Amino acid sequence: MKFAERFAGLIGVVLFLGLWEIAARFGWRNPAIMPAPSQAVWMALATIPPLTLIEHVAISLWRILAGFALGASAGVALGIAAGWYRPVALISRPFVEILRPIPPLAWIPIAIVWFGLGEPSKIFVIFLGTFFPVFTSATRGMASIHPSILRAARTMDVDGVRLLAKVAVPAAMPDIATGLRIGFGLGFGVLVAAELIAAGRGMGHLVMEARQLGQLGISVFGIFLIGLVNLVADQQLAAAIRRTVGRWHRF
Amino acid sequence: MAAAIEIGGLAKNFVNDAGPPVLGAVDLTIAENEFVVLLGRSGCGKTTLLNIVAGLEQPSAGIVRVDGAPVTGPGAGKGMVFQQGALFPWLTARRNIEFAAVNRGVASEAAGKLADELLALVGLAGSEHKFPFELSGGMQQRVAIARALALDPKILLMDEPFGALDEITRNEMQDELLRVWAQRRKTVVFVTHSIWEGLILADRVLVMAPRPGRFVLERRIDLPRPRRRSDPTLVALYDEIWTCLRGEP
Repeated sequence: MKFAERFAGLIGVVLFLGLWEIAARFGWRNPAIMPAPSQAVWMALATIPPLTLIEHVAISLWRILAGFALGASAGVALGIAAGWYRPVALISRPFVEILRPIPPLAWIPIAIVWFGLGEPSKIFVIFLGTFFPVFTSATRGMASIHPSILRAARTMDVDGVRLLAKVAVPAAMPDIATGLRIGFGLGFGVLVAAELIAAGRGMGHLVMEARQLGQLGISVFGIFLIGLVNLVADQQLAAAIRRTVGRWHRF
Repeated sequence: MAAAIEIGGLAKNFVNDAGPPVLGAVDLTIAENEFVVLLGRSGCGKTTLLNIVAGLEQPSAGIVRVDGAPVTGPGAGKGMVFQQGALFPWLTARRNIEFAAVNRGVASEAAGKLADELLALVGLAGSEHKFPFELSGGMQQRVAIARALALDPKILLMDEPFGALDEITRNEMQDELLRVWAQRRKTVVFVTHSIWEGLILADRVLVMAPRPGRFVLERRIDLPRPRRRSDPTLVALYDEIWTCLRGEP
């Protein structure tokens, strides 16, 4: 059953690529504007040395991991604090609510001035993309702990920091985990966009550079690559969550 | 018999102690190992009364003594079982119970042994490694009872513990509770809005009326357990209590 369901999904992918392939080969007939998937892959593999390709993927992954690690830890820590200590919530809420709706990409010009064209500017915008959803989810997770759980803990003489660390934070983990996944997805999107605009390496840069050189096939390949890498990374994160929080919580 | 719980002139107003009264001036003395049931409709103040005894809420006036000492906060000898959702979902059944034991200073190895013992007592041997979401509602409440017992409390406070269960499971759990109580004698204060539940379980039933919460009927039930619902004494008591409850606005 499980296998059959996966197989059904595969049919969708094959069908989509197949139709694209047929349309590109027999419809438009101009691979410079609409390359077939097979042409895109062939073109990329023939043009780009494997090591360069790996380097593009690796640098993007490094940026996302660094930015995500910073954004997620800050978001979790501050979100927990704001969800637990009322003064922290009162101080941070308006500040966060003002910054949250700003698209992280809007920060790129400023980030370049502050951090230059190197890695820190990219990591900064990923940080912004990750921080807010993680912060919001962690705060919500802390606020929506079933009151009976906290009462039960108090009847067991658990209070203060112990109540926070041993009871409240574990209780909020499902929401925190969901926030991490949303934050990762957003961070990844922000990364690729940042690389399109201002980078000399990375998957986003690969897409942009190929278009400027008129090698649209490589751009198409780069887009596939971004989707695939994001998918694999997200699956890893989802699996890690399933192995931990997922053991005791149905998402 | 010594008094396990003494409640004197207890009153509670919501909204800064001057709001509408939730609990009138209530007096009640509960003997050691007595099983007392507080019965009444929603909003009659029975849960508030229980929470004050537990030390989870502060009274506006009056005093509660447990074993002669005034209650100043939760913990220390007062175990509590809630309606549902109070188990820690990230801990297995066994670890939930261990958590309670370790918190009152039991060494972790002894806590594990105690947890196994209590799991067996509530009929859950074999389910120790299951997480709460893998257990049925009735099994979750068995764990909750075992967890409260792991605190080795003198008094057991139960806030509609079977209120979320279907009737069949609920009746089973009432029998189970009596079986456990027979083995581990405790003073029990049990809140419910089921008349039959009160009649099946209690040494003494106190019927409460709202605004302000107060006792309007008190009946001692000296019948041996397990009790049958067809018992004429219980049927007569049911009618009397129902008439009393129905008479309220």
